[in-house]
Amino acid sequence: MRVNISFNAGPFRIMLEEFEKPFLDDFHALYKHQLTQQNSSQRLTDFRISVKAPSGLRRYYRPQTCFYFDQFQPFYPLPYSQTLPVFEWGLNWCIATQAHQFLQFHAAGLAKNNTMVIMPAPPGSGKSTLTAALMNHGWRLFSDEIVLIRPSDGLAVPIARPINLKNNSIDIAESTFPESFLSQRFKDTHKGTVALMAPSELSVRNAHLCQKPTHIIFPKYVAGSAMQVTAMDRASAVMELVTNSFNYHMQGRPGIELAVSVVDQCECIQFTYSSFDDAYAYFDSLEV
Amino acid sequence: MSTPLLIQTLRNPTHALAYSIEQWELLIRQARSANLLPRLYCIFNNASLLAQLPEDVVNHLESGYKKAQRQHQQVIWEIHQIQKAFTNTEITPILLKGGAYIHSGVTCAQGRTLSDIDILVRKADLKKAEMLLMIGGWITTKSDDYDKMYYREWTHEIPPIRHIKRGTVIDVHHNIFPILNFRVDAEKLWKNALIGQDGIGVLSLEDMILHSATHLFLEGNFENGLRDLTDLDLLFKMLDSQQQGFEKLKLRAFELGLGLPLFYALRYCQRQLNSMVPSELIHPNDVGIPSAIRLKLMDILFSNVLIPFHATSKSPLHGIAVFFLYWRGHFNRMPLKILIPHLIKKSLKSLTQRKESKELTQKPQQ
Repeated sequence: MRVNISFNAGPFRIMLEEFEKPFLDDFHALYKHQLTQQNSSQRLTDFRISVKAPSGLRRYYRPQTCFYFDQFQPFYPLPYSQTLPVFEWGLNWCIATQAHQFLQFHAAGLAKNNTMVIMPAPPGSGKSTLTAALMNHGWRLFSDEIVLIRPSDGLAVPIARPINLKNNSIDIAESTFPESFLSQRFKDTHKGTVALMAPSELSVRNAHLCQKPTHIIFPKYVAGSAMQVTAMDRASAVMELVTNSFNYHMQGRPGIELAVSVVDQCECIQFTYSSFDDAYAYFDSLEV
Repeated sequence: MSTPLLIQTLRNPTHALAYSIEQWELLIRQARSANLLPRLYCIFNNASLLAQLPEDVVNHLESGYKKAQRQHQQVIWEIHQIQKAFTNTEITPILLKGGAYIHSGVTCAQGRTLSDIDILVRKADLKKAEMLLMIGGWITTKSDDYDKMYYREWTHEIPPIRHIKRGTVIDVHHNIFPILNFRVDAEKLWKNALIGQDGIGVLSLEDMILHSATHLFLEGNFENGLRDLTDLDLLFKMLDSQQQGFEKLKLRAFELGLGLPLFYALRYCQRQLNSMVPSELIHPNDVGIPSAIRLKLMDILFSNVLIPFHATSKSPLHGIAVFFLYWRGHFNRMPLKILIPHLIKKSLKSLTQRKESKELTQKPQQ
């Protein structure tokens, strides 16, 4: 159905043109803070998106959902039950393939006071869970997937969109942070079971405040371990960041120079933990 | 329907300075759908207008341009790999279309993107070229015997070959036009081609224009039609008016039997893009030029397909024009006695093969 919902996600303006009704309530709850924002500034819509079932008989037989960026369809249809995650993944795809005015790292980003942390980590390291925890502990969410760096001043730019939680971490998040909105569970996706957590009000309200990155932390959750903090050499950190960049290869020489200057100004740390309380204490101690 | 905003902008880039934010957004959407976003960046850049455009507009234009620049790097490197595959042989492949523009650095390379690299080799060298490229890692994409036979017997190319690791695709041609309806003598192209020190060649400027025009106006796919028309516009601008460049082009077109596609190229560059070309270069009573009534029909058809294929710029006649020109392209390439059995065979095969096709979850990246 046509919904024409327009909202800002950090530097981007998005128009959801068509969507499937059964997922609309979750969508509204996840983007509650963005949708109530006043968007007075006159600017163009960056991404017009539709996620909808194909017409005809396919609505009834093993129903599917299709993602459209304007009129372009970058993915094959996925099961209808995944409509909401498809919107999230599709919007990630739009940013990663269209927004080359930023250097983009595949990483989570969070900030408190003058501390801004970039957390690159492979899937399964507990990055999204830790991101959700820190956000609920009063840290400002930049993103749980894409950290944008603005070339003109080297600042990180918040997007403040829902956090993508997977499998076991959904249960943990649900019992530990009951005050945060969590969507329904989407089973059997290519990432297993997925649920989305709404960004905090603070994160969305301050999504226009860009910040200088101060720490690059590679988190690792190891059950039952004692907390461990190890300094990491900057050269390895640069390599980790650029190999996990969505668009480093588009940026040419300025891209590597920017990546190096970001790492140069940051402390680079490997962080192993098993309890949120340890993590809160450690992250809160990172003062600049 | 009024002229699509993208076409208006290609005609008069400076008018864009007065666009509203809604118009800018429409322009970007149309340009993206026509694969012209990077070229639009170049047009504004060449006219020194970029600094005066809204920031969020420049972001989209510049992102498109960065993507195209990255692709140019890859194409240059890929051409180098092709050249390596032919080292120490007497085969000197000629690059066609996008690959040729980028390799020779002509203005037509500006903001040009492509999906595969086209090369031309002599028909006698085809087998050997295919083998050398296979050693270089490019393997055929068609495993079906009928498809292989179709390409070899009835077209001017072999089935596309794809690099086993990098996934890059090369189209190997032995002529610039299918061999059935009329024959372009490929030897004449070779005679004028410019072969570089590195063993890689490009067609002469005149032949480049004629190839682009032939491809656009005698075949049947127009998704990139507007982009190809802007290619032609940029190539025409390279002709030396002092040296009677257009006269030489005309003579060459008649020599190769390609007067008609050149006629169309000049006509629609002028009508769609306001190009400064001598539209009277080829007279209506010259050989092969359509009658007044037929020309009226072609005007309607081409003006409805040489547009961005975007919902906001399609007229009610667009669908039927695309349909008609698609079939015209088929008839241009093949006589009915070959076309009809081919279509029957293809539809029967698609019925039997549908069951076997695997379900994919993600389309290959553009």
